[in-house]
Amino acid sequence: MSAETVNAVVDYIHPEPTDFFHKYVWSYDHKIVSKQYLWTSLMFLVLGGSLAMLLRWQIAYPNQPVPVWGHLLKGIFVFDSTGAISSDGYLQLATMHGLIMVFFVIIPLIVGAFGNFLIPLHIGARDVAFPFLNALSYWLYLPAGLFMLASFFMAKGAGEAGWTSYPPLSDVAGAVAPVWGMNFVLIALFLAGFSSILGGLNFLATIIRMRAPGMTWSRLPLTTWAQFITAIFQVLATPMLAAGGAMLFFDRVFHTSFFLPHGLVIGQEAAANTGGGFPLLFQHIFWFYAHPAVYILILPSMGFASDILAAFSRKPVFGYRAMIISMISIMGLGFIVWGHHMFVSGLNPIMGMAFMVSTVFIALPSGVKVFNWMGTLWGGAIRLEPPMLYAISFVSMFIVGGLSGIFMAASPVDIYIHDTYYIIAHFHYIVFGATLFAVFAAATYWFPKMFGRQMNAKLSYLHWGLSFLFFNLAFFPMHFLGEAGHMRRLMTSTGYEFLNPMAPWNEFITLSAFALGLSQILFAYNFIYSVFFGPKAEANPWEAATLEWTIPVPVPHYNFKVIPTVYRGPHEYSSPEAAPADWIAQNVPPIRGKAAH
Amino acid sequence: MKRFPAWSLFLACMGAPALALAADIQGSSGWIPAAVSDRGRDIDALYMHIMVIVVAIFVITQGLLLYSIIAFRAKPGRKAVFSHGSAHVEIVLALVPALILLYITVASVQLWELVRLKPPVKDPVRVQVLAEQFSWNFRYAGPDAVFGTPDDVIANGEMAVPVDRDVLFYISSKDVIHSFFLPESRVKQDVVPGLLGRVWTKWNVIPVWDLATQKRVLLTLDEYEAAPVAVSGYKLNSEPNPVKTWYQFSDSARINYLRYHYDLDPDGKVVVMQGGKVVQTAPRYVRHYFEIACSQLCGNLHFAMRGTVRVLPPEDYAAWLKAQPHDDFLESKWNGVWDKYHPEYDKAL
Repeated sequence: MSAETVNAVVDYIHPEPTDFFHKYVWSYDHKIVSKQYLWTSLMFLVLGGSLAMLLRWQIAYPNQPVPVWGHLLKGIFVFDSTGAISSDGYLQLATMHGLIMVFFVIIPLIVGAFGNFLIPLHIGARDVAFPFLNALSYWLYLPAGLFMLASFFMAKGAGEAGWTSYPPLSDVAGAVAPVWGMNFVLIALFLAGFSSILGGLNFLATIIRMRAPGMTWSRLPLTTWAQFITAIFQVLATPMLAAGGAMLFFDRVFHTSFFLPHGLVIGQEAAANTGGGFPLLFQHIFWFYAHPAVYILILPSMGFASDILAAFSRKPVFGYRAMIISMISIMGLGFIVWGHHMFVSGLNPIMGMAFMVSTVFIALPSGVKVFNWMGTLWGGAIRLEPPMLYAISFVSMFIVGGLSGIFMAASPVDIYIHDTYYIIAHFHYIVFGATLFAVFAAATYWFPKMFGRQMNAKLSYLHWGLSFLFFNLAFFPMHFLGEAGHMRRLMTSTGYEFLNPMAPWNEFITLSAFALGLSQILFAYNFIYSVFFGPKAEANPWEAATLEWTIPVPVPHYNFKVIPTVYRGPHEYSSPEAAPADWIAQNVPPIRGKAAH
Repeated sequence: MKRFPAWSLFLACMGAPALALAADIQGSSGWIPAAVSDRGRDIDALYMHIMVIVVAIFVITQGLLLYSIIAFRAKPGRKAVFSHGSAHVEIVLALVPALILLYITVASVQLWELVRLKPPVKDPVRVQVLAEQFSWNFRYAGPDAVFGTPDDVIANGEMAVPVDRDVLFYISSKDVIHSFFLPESRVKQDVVPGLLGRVWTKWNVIPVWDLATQKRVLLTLDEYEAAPVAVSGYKLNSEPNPVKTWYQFSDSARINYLRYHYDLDPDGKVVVMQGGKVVQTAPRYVRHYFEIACSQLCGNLHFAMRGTVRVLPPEDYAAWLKAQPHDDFLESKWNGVWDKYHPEYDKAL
């Protein structure tokens, strides 16, 4: 696409809808679709978090009735007849917490909500490449979420085999109680997978084909680069999840035996449909998807953090090209490390060695990114607004999560810490400490653009402080639990003598987790109140240089009145070209005839 | 924009992690159970090497991060440095971690080979382990050293091994995936139906319970023979721990935080042995065990799938084997599942 002409595709805008249904329900406008994703995933966040609170109650206070909820829901859902969590219920909580958070909160938030809202605005386009697919993606995600909710209401409850659903436990009748609950979970994942794949295709086409004149690949905001790499992961990896989920569904419902070897005896009964399958096959298929999935969970947040750190340091990102090369390396390496989830699975140790090498080295691009974020801060003029505080704590907690990952990558050490709380600490530091804090950063940063109002800064600071404190108090001690050998998915550890000394830590973690959960009320209140009653915001309250800040709020249906032409990179803060101001937008023509970068 | 005094930023950002890290370093030796085998000690050594590197990187990066936000805060008149980065710095910052990671890779590969690819060859004790929902079945080959014959010794829940001898476990499952986890030995491998797994270890200590301090103690074979040890007549009891830790909020009964102690068993007969012979002195120790944990979700009673390992002097181990009762029900699990569906497992060496 030539730098000077405006592509007809970019300039086209679908007509503005007039009725409620086409405005807010079946909408082709990426901004509305993003808000649909946003509200739905925030509600799932509350649900997933509540499941975790129940889980933590049981671990800290084994077999004691849950206050309020246990009394109200005695004998139904996950509660037993005394109001405590039942043994099946505990596993349902653990399973559904994981599935909901990964598939129905984080991915829809960072890709469906923020990706959708920001990509067209960042590249100077009026909408995504396939608005119909965009609407369809949301309307596959919502029914998928409803299937997940429905699984709780099935006789015998929701999925119970862990979020990883390993067969034969998740496969053979009689190994666990739930039947249609688990089937609904598989249907939900299948639909959500489709939503993901279609969304990924959409974003790839948009970013490749619809960039405004002058918006070269090396002038894209890192948010968009991250979404681009994430979309490649989504398109290439998610079909494997669909395949594995379909095979598991067929085993369960149509009595095939993809994953069931012959000779299975559950209790006293020989399982009906066994023969010819192999349990490890599921693990390979699942982790071939689920490892790239964890990069889907982190890359967009890295993008948000990069752009926010630059904007509030008032200097360009340190090593823009290195950041891109790192993301591409993560993409390449991300497909050949899945076996590190299987070091102790009975996998051939030679394969284990190969996966260990690739896994240790995937730490390198992440490390480069961390150093670049620190380089961005170094020598800056740092404005500690709420988005910046969240973004800096993203870097801090990503460092902790990344470093704990090194222990797991060393497979002899992983023999001991696999399936313990060490792993739980690691991934919660990444998914909550890093990704979710980056979501808070993105939410507070782009709130004025999304809703035309400002969030309350004091409440944001308070939310940040309490969340940061209680998050670390809740999850850092899990490293100690892991060192003690405390296994995962244990309803109570008190049956084991070697774990008994950890009972006080389990209580400490639970109480910190409760405090963490309560602190989120501040964010919820701030967010919801500000949407309706927050002070009106100006078009560019942060003095940021990327394209979305050049258009008025509320953002009009067509986004840009005139498709902008881009003359420079996305983080030209404190550039001499901008003097005396400390920033210059991407679409401002070169000043004083200076060559743009 | 609010102005934060430096000390408040320090507390907010470093306070909680610093406390936690200090607690970890102080408690590290307390939380990791003592290693009881050579490979276990090797794994702990690798863990500590990596820990030193990780703590150093943690302190440097978090410190620099904190320093940056204090030193480079926006002040009136302060202008940021307009720099897109430096290729030189980039290369150094990539090379140094690469070399560190290379070191970790080489160390890990060497240890992995030792731990996973070099099973014991010189006459190990062979044990077959059949995991099921929700218990552990063990089988020894018996005097004829062949599995699947009537003289096999079968046990459920508790197994015994001789001290200072390699033990080779052949592990499989009859229903779902479990995981054979021996915490102190640093042994863990998923037990997969349809797959015969192999793990091995060698215990070089015997677990006993010190009656004076009421704590578990690990004795070498020589120390064990030199001391009077009660082999029966004592029972392990527990009650809520009267001592609260500093990070504990509720009382110990509420959180099930127990204190264990061996007391005289009113229904048992005290037999004390020293140097392989029965003696009449008061016992100093009571024979204890190591625990086996299931560490892969295997169903709703996963949390209760516990086993025990008694590490014994060689004669006591032989006596234990002889003393195992014959149980038709337990034997049917082996004959009806392991031998029936996977006869090739019995021939694996």
